Amino acid sequence: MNEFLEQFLIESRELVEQATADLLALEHAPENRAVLDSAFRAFHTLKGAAGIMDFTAMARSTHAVEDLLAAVRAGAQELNAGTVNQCLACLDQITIWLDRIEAEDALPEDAEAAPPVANEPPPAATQAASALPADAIEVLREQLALIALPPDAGFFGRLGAAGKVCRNVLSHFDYHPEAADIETALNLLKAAFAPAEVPPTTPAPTTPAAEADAASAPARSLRVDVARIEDIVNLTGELIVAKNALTHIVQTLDNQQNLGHDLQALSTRFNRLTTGLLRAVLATRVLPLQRVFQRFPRLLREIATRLDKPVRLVIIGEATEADKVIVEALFEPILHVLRNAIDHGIEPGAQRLAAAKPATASITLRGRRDGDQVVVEIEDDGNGIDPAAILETALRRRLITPDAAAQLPEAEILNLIFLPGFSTAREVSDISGRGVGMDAVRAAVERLGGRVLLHSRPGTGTTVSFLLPFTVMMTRVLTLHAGGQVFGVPLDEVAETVKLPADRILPVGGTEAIILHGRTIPFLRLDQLLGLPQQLGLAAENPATGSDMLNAAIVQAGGGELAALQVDRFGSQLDVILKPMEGLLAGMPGVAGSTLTGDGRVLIVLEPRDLLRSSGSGHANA
Amino acid sequence: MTYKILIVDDSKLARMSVAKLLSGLRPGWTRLEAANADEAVKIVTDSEPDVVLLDFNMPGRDGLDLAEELHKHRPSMPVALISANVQVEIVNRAGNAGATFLPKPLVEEALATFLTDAERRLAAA
Repeated sequence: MNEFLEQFLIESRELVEQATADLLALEHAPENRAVLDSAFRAFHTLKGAAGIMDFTAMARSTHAVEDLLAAVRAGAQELNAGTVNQCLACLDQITIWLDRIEAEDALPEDAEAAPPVANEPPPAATQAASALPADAIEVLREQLALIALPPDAGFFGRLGAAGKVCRNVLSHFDYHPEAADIETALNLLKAAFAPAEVPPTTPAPTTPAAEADAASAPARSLRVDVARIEDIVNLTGELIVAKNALTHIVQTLDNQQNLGHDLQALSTRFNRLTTGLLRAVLATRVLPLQRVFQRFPRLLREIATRLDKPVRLVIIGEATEADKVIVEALFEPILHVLRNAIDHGIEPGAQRLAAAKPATASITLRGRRDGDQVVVEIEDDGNGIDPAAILETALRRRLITPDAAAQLPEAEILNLIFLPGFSTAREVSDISGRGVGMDAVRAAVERLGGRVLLHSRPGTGTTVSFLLPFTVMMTRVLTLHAGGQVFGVPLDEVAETVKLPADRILPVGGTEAIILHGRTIPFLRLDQLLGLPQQLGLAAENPATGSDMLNAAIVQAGGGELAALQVDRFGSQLDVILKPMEGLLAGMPGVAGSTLTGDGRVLIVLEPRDLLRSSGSGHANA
Repeated sequence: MTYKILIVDDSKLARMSVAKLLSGLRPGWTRLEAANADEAVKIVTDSEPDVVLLDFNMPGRDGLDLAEELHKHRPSMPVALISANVQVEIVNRAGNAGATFLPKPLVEEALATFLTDAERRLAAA
C-alpha cells in the first residue's frame, strides 16, 4: 500500500474515533465548548486529509458536517440527537470507505455516486434556485475581499482558492454559465503557473529529509507487520522447545562428569535467556485495550436507545495494554456482559426513580494491569443479581436438584448463571436473549487462559471481571482420536502422519516396531499407552490379514528418536492456549496441559516424549 | 543556496504531502517537521530553520498564535500559514503577523510562489 494511503487510513480512523467520542460526549453535555471544538477540528482535519488524497466525496460530506458544527458553534443551530445522528452517519459512511480502501488498496471510484451524507443545505438555500440566498452572497463577498487584499506572495494561491469557492457556490445554485467562466479563468491561472514554477527535475533522493524525519519523530516507535512479529513469536517457541530438549539431556548427564556440570550451568543460563526473550517478544505484540473499548460507546448508545434505558458509558484505563490475541478476542464477551447489564441489571425508569437513583444509569468499562494479569471490569449501577431468582430459575430449568440447591452456599448461587442453558430473561428479548448466556462469556475468557468473576451488590449494581493473562503463547496442536476420546499433540512434536498396512508392524522382542524411511522405530498404541479401553474393530489384532490400514502419528520420542503412535483417526489442527494442569492432575506425566475447544470441551494436550518415557517405551529405555 | 524549512502540522499525512511537494520544488532543502506549536518553538530555537510552513488548525495553540509568536522573535523569517478556512479575518491576522496565507490543500503553484518569494527575502537579508 502506498505510504500516503496508509497514513490516510491511520489518521482518518483516529479522527473518526475522536469525532465519535466527542459527538457522544456532546449529546450529554451540549454546552461543552472544548468538546465541540475538538469535534469540529476532527471533521476539519478529516476534510483536509480527504483534500490531500483528492477524495472528493469524503471532502464534500465532511465539509457539510463542518458547516453544521460551525453553525452550532455560532449558536445558529441546536445540537440535539438529530444533529448528532447526522454527524455519526457521516462517520459511518467514512468508515465504510476506509474499510474499502483498506481492502482494495485504492480510493473507491464510485464514492461520488454514494448519496452525500449530512449534506442537507440550510432551509434558506433550498428554495433559492434563481436568487442567491443571503449566506451564499456573503460567501462570494468574502472571496472578493480576499482578492482585494494587497498582492503578496500568497496572492495567486488566494486567487485560485477564491475562484474555486465562487465556482462551487455558483454551480450549486445553478448559475452554470457563470461557474463555467470562472472555471476557464482558473484553468488559465493554473496554466500560467505550471511551467514557470515547476523545475523539470525528477525528485532527487532525499536523505537529509529522511534523517530529519527520524530526528523529529515524536515517539520512538516503529510499525512492524504483524506477520513478522508472529514469525519471531513462533521462532521463540521453537527455541524454547530446543531448550527443553537440552534441559532433558543435561538431566540424563547429571553428575556424570564435569561436562554435566558445565552443561547444567549453560542450561540454566539458556533457561533464563529464553524466558526473557519470550517475554520481550510477546511484549512487542501488545495493543491498548482502547482498540476494543472504542467500539462500545456507539453500540451501547444503540442498545440503550432500543431498550429505552438511558445509559452513560464511562471508560477507564483504556491505555492498559494486553496481548493482541487477547485484545482482539475480548469484543464478544464484553459486548455480551454490557447487553446483560442494560437488559437485566439496569432497572426500568420508574424503579430507578423509586430507588432514588439517577435516571441515566451508568456503566463503567475499566481496564487495569494487576501484576501479570490484565483485568477488565464491567460495572453497572443497576439492581444487582437476586440470588433467590437465580436459584428459582436454575431449579425450574433443572440445572440443579432441589437437594443440591438446599446445600448450595450463598456465594455459589450466583455462579449458576454460568451454567449452559441458564437465562433469567422471562421474555426472550432481542438484546440478550440469543441463546448464548454467561456460559459463552466464561468459555471465551477461559479459552484465553483467563477467569470470570461475578460480584453483585443487591440494589446497587453488578461487577463482572475478566482476569486475563498479559501475554499468551499460542500452541498449534493436532487432534487425535484414540480409545473413544480426543487428545491434542503439539504439532511441533509430530514429524508426520502416516497410514500403513497392518502387516508392516514387526514384532521386536516383546514389543512392536515399524520401518519408516529405512529406520526402525517403536510402534505403540496410544489407547494402550493411556490405559484406555480399546475400540473394537479398529485395532489390527491380526497383522497376518494384512488388509487393515492403520493410522499412526510419527512423534518425537526424545534424543532425536521417533516413535509411531497408533490412533483411531486424525482430527484437525487448532491454535490453542495451553493451560498447565492444576490440582490433582498437576504432576500427571505425559500431559502438556489442557485447553478449551470452541465448543467448550476440555482438550487434554499430550507431551509424547514424556508419555513415552514414563511408559518405559520411549527411546530412553528402548 | 539551500535552506532549512520547518513544516508544522498535527497531521502526519499533511506533513507528508507538503514534504512531497517540497522534494519536487526544492530537492536540496533540509526539511524539519513538528507536530504541534510547542515542538515547533523548540525546533526553531534549536535548529534555526530559515523558513516555516504552519498549519492553522492544530490542537493546543493554533498556527496563527504561533505565527504571531515567531514574528515577535524572528521578524525576518518567511512564514506561511496554511488553512482550509479562507476567512478574511484569518488572512488579515496572518498578514499582520508577517505570514503569507496559503489555502489548503496546498497546491504546487501556491507553494512555489511562496518559496520563490522567501528565497528573495532571505537573499536580501
